[in-house]
Amino acid sequence: MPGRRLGRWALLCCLLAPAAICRELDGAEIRLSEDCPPGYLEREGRCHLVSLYDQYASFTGQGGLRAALPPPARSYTAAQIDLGRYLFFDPLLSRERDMSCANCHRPALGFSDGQARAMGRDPAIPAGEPATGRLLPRNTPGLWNIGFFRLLSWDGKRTDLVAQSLAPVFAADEMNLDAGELARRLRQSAYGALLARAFGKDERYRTLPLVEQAAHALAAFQGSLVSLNSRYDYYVFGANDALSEQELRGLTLFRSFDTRCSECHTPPLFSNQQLATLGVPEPVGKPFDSGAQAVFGREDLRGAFRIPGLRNVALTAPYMHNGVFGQLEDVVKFYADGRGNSASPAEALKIHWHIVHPRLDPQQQGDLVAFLRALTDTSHMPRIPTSLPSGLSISAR
Amino acid sequence: MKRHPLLCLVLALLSPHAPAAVHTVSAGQSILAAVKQSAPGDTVRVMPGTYVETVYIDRDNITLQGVMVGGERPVLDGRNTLKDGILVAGDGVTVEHFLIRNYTANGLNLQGVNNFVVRHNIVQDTGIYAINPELSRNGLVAYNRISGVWDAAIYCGECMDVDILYNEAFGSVMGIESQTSQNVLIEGNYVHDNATGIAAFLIPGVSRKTTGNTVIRNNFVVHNNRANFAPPDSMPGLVPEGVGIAIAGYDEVTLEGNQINGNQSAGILLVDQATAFGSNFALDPAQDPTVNSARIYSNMLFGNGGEPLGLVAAYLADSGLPRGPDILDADPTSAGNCIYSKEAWFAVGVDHWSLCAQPTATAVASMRLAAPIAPRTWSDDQLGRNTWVAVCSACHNENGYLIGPPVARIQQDFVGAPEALAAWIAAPTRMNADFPPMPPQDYLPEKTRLAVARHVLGLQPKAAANTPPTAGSNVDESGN
Repeated sequence: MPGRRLGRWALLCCLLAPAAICRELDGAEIRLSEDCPPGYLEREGRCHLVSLYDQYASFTGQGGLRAALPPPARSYTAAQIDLGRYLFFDPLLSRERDMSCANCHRPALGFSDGQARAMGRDPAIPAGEPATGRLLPRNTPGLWNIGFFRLLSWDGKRTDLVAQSLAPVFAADEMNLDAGELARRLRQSAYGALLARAFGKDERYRTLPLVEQAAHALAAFQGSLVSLNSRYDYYVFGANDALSEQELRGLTLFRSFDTRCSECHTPPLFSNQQLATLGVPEPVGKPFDSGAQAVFGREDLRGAFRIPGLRNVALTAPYMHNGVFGQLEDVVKFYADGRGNSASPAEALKIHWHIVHPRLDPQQQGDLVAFLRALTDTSHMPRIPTSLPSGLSISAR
Repeated sequence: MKRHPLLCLVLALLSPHAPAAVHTVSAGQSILAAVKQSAPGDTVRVMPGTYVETVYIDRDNITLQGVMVGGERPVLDGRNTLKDGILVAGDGVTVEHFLIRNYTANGLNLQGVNNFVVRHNIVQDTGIYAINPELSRNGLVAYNRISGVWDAAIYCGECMDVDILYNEAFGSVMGIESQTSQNVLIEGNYVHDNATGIAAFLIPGVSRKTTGNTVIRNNFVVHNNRANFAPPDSMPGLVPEGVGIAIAGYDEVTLEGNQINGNQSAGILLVDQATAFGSNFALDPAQDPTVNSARIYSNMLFGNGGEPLGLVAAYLADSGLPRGPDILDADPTSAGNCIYSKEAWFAVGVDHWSLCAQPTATAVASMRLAAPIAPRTWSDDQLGRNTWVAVCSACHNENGYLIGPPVARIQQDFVGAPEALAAWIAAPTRMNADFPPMPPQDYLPEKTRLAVARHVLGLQPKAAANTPPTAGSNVDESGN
């Protein structure tokens, strides 16, 4: 099966990628890349994403096999993107200098963390003492294709990737820095010079404070995490045997209105970027999460959450806003069990109208899972730094 | 004139497209198999017979054509076990002359499609919708006879630039529904014996937020008094019974020349989103829930409202009116609506409406576009460059070593031979022990492979900045 072969090689490419970089960083000095990341073309000094989806005229930008992508919010230079890569992996951004963005957004796990819910920090522990974990209320979202999204947080509160990038840095129960301390650390480390190099001549950003420039760098890097070369995409671009018979059956179910999967998870991003109440159960002992209700102050959005994209979804288990489902099979079964099957009668939720009563036998549920696994592509995996401008080591917690 | 055979061959090779082919499918064969064999521009002709399958059309410019012989047409039959009859995801697709029946989800679903034509089909008992273009643009749905679904027989969902003409839609929860769409002409249809005849609904929780420019003209909308048989917890479960034309939240609807008779709740009903859907579903913070800029010109309204049900009955109970009206605007906050006359019919809730100015919408001949929506055209240079960047740059780099060999090395190996490189890309063999083998890129069309081969051979590589990776290098995966 040629499709399977392609997938295996794509994986091999990713695993080998970091090796090339070790050499790039020989010597003490950090040198920001002058080259746009894979998938980007330099034009007038900035990196612009190029995708084979650009060939297609779009309507709403969503739906069907061959639709255009929504435009990214901003464009950045190669150096800005590369600087974001260092910041993303640097524990300097946490109070105890032991937690980077990548601690929870792990590259090999679709930039999620493999945990049901994110593990933060107890902010009450005094500085210098061993940190104690604190379980956060929601699942760590994966980051592939995040640059296309306007709805970023589960509850719909965050809509700008630049602002979102520093939210965990400043959160008391996550990385727990404040803006003043972050600015001081950036200024007093090699980041001061690197930020000046990356942003100092850029009319758009050069007058911004260091902290905001760092936020832009983090957004620039995350925007470069683009996944549009899966076997599904090969099928879209004309390879009729890129998907197996089972995966094609899964695609046919995915777009059937019996399931209505594709109406919310609209290609090519596999999200229509809306909020929806599904009636997902909470894990035992966890109180009901009101989701978007708290953000928008609307009773009818009680329990509504962001509809995530499904690219690389096979890598980001567990699933849903609270990580209640360990495997894709569990997620598909949840939908197959029908509208409202796990919703608390006490909540009287307004479950989204696309949540229906599909008729899916076990084989069909397996077909859907097989299709979801065909959405995996990490060929544009960024290179992971081997040394950091802060001098800190990249540590796993 | 006799053509030289060699000249013909040369011309054929120079021609950018192979001539359109006709594939004929006979009873006992698979329509899907024929579609998979077809190329853009081809026609798949289906002879009479019963075909029990789901057909998906994922390529562009395919005509799927039933052939009627001796009064028999081809039947796509889902036997009440298959979900979908035909799923279309290719642009420029035509589906005509079929009988599609007994599916559980949809008869003919088009999603994210431009330039579609669906005509002269009979669709019966296909579950949710019978013919449903969704997120689709510039299309025609005409001369179809559709019945027996628990949502809308013809459903235009988040569509744009669509004509729905001369269909018969009956025996369903809705006959024709324009959902959160723009530029739709619904004309000359015979819509009867549904719960609601024709609906224009702004639906919450979808990606489109606005509606507009929808003309409902010269339709026969009669006896839509069927009991709503949709599941009560579904969106169509809220569709009112006994209504000719229902407008909920949807803006810029023009009604003229319709015959709206014998609908027992009301001839025309206008409601806000909250009244229509709010009991069971969340409204959308980004949508305006009221009906604005409706225009009701001359229509023939007679014998409506005799036995009102559901929300019309509830409205009447509150207002003390004796029977259902021809026209009811149940939303006092609606704005910008106009009517031909407030005295010609039994019209309720229209005190705040104005009288319509001329002209009416009779001059609108079609909502379809003057020319098909063309795909963006890339020159060969653009195609080569963009494919290089979008696909190849994951492993190859102009400046040095990434995963595969650098550009300079490729240029050495294939100097002056883009055709050989294009062929090698599709079926690579190991050329360098220094690098991992390349995965085949055979999913790229030949034209694309040749363009990218020409592009890579024409690049000006910068000096190689590093040395090739060696096998077994440590992979640094922090945090894992």
